[in-house]
Amino acid sequence: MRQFLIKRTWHALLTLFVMSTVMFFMFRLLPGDPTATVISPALYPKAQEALKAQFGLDKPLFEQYLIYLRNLVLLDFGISFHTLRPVAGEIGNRLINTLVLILPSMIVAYAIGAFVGAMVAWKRGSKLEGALVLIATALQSTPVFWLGMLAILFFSIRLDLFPVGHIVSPGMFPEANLQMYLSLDFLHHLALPFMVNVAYQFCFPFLLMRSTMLSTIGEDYIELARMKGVPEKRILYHHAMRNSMLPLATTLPMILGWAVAGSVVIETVFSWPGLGLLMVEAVGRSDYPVVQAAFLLIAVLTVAGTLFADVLYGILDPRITYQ
Amino acid sequence: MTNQDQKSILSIENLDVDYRVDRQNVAALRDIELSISKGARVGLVGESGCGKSTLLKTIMGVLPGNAEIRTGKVALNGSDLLSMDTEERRKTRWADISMITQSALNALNPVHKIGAQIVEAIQAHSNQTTIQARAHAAKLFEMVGVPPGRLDDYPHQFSGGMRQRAVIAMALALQPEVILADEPTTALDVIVQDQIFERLFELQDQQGFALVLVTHDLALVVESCETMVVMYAGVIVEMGPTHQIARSPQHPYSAGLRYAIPDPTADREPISIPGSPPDLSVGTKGCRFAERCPLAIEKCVEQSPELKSTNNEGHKVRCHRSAEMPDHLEQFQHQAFWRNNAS
Amino acid sequence: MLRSLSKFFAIIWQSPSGRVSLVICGICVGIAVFGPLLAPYGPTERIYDDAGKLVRLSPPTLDHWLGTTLLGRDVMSQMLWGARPALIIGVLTALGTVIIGVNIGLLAGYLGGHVDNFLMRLTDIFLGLPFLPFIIVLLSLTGQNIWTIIFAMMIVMWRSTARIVRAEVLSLRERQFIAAAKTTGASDFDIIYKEIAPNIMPFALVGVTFALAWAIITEASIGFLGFGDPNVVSWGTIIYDAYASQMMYRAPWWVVPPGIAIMILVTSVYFIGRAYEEVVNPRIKQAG
Repeated sequence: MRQFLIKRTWHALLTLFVMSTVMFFMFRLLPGDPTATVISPALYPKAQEALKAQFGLDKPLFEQYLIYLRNLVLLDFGISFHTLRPVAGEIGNRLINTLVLILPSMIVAYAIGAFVGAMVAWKRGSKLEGALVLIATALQSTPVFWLGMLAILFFSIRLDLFPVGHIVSPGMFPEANLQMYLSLDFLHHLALPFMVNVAYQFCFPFLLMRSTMLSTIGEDYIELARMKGVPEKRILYHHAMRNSMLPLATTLPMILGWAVAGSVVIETVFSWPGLGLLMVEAVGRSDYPVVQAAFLLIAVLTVAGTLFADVLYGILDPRITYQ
Repeated sequence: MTNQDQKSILSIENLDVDYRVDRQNVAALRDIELSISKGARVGLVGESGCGKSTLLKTIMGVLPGNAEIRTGKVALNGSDLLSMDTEERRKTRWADISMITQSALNALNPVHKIGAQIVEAIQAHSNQTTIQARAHAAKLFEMVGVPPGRLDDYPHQFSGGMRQRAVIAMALALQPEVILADEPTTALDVIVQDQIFERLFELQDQQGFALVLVTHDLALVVESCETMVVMYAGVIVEMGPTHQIARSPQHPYSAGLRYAIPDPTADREPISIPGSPPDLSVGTKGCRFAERCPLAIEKCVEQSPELKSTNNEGHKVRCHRSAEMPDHLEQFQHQAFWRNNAS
Repeated sequence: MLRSLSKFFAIIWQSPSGRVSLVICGICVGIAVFGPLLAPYGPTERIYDDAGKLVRLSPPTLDHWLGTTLLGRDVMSQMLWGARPALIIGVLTALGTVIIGVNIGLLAGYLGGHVDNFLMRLTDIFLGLPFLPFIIVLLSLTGQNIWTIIFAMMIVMWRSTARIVRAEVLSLRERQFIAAAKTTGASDFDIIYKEIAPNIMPFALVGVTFALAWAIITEASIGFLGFGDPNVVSWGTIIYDAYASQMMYRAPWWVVPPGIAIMILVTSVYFIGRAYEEVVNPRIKQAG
């Protein structure tokens, strides 16, 4: 197990290294190089100097690359072109905002999706099953931002139940602190994007769990459990559902990846000040130190999710061998 | 009631089971009459698809959703299993009748420890604590010859033979009166097979459960079971004392199975029965073996034979021409007879 | 190839949900092809009333079945024009994705060893790549037009197909007919593309449908985030325009139709994929 962990961690680090390298060269070598626009004399001289100093743009490309890597390790993401403040200082809060939105809704969506999927498969052939499969497929086929817009249209505008966007009411909390995240105002703002994300993320685990359960139910060990006189409830939870969780765990990294990446759109719709929105805004402003930092942090989240899912799978399936 | 019925532990009467496949009914079992005595060792033989598994599933109460029991009774110690409610039925499973399944690999849940799966069976029927149940499971492991230290292994960590032993241990867990063994060793090599049967029969002698050995291996049954039942296409075609059927089968199908076994003492090649099992759709008439039978006559195609007692005690056969069988036994030993006469 | 395709459609036609989905997709293709001819107005044409006033944010009327936008454009016409780019981008991306994925999967699975290791590590890296953010960064650097959008989506989407195909090739490689081909001295190239590849077709087709579904949604998301081709009206960019105008909550007729169109199209693509998968992968069917 320890060896497996070390190996997977090594893979994760390798992935991140490759990604940051690709990022670096993408910005330098692709035609739309944003540094070119930044170094133009029209910009703040301070930013120009900072940039030149930080990235050593006069130095050879390879040396720039080494400096870039060193800065990354030191969590020095440079200075924002837009705010002229160090990126690292601003990005921490954004990361937390993304996590408080994405993580709980993922967990809830997975729990509900897996449970409901298992139940409809267990009582197979019900009308509810057919309806839920259709609804889940339709939801999965819906662009999540559009779902968010409809939710705002209906719940915020028509019914006036929830705020239209943002993380707290303007001026309520000048500083983001623990108090803010515990306030009712924050929860009130969280509710709608949370529900939309749950509705959207629910579909995949639901559909997967249902189809896995349908094939698990036909396995010999389910029949043996029944022959053993094991109560039906225990067969359902301890055998059928337990075993059907394996494919769910295998696909978890992919789904986590989608969810984190999908934060870009959901945060945009709800003006939720997370990493995704930050990135979209920064791209729009050609603020590329911020783009880079936001992208890499999103990548870290994705890769960490993958690592987590790998370990989870190892715990769930004793057959896996760590070599 | 005859003497034999009185000490019978499991008796099946008049059992008909259908499957619904593509909106058509298939007669999976017809007119099954079977009585297993306490402590008996009964061999149930037949080709795959003859209804052996359906019979076992009916007895265990795990028929799939598309199966329907049309008529019949499956009585254990005199009480009908088929008319019990779900909870009563659940309690009798495993406690009174348990089963050794065909593929131990598929029958054991891969994500749970083997010990835990035995403990589960024990706890489903008693109030034993996990510690007590585990101690019991350890004893069972010793009985079947697996080191108790391996209770905490997962199924994939066991060899095929050990898995099969574990499944036997599980079947013994609640000291049932009947154990059904469905092709218990098919996946194993011959030496391991022998070891496992030896142990299983020893355990039977010690504990006195009745053992129904379901197999397509007639040689095994002839070697080890006092009574045998031959099934073909969902019906019992012959049943009785093994030595009698082996010496002088009264049904052409039994004869075919009998002479399919290589016999090192006799100077003949083993035969094989030409053709394949018939269509089981409901509504067909006549003897189900007729189209493969060298002795078939007009009557066999027209009219289903009944299961009749023969002159020998406890020996029953379902064949219009069983009386003539002794005269044909010699011919049945030659492949040519089968091929030429099958219509 | 053609035979697999006709078999593909025959299989889907057998399931009721597959049949409905095929019809819906057919209609969408019809709109993509003929929509611009049917559209009463151009996609960016501004509409003035008789008094010469711009018809802004008109709710649905007989003249404008789906109302008009803030800039006085006919939503119905935009919808009819918008099907074409959505489908072209979707189909090309799906095909490209699967072609890359199948080839990488074939090579990794068949050649094994270092090639396999390298390709699978590469696949893992791409699996860890945040999908949309990467595409956005890429588009912001390469510029935004249909081709860069297709390219950006393709280079991140091949990863799942590659994995599935590789797993399948690994099991095929051990089969007898491959060994037979080897003993007759067939080259690796021949074995991969003449012996193994045809057996991969069902998986490739399932891959195409799921990639198509993803590509359509992703194209809409890209459009919504403002990284769509500025010269093209697609269903995604209609939603973006509504969103960017800040008027979307006053004009539901503007936002609702493109979303519904995407939802219906993608849902039927999913059902087609699933109907086919159930037959190709009988484990699911057996149980269901």
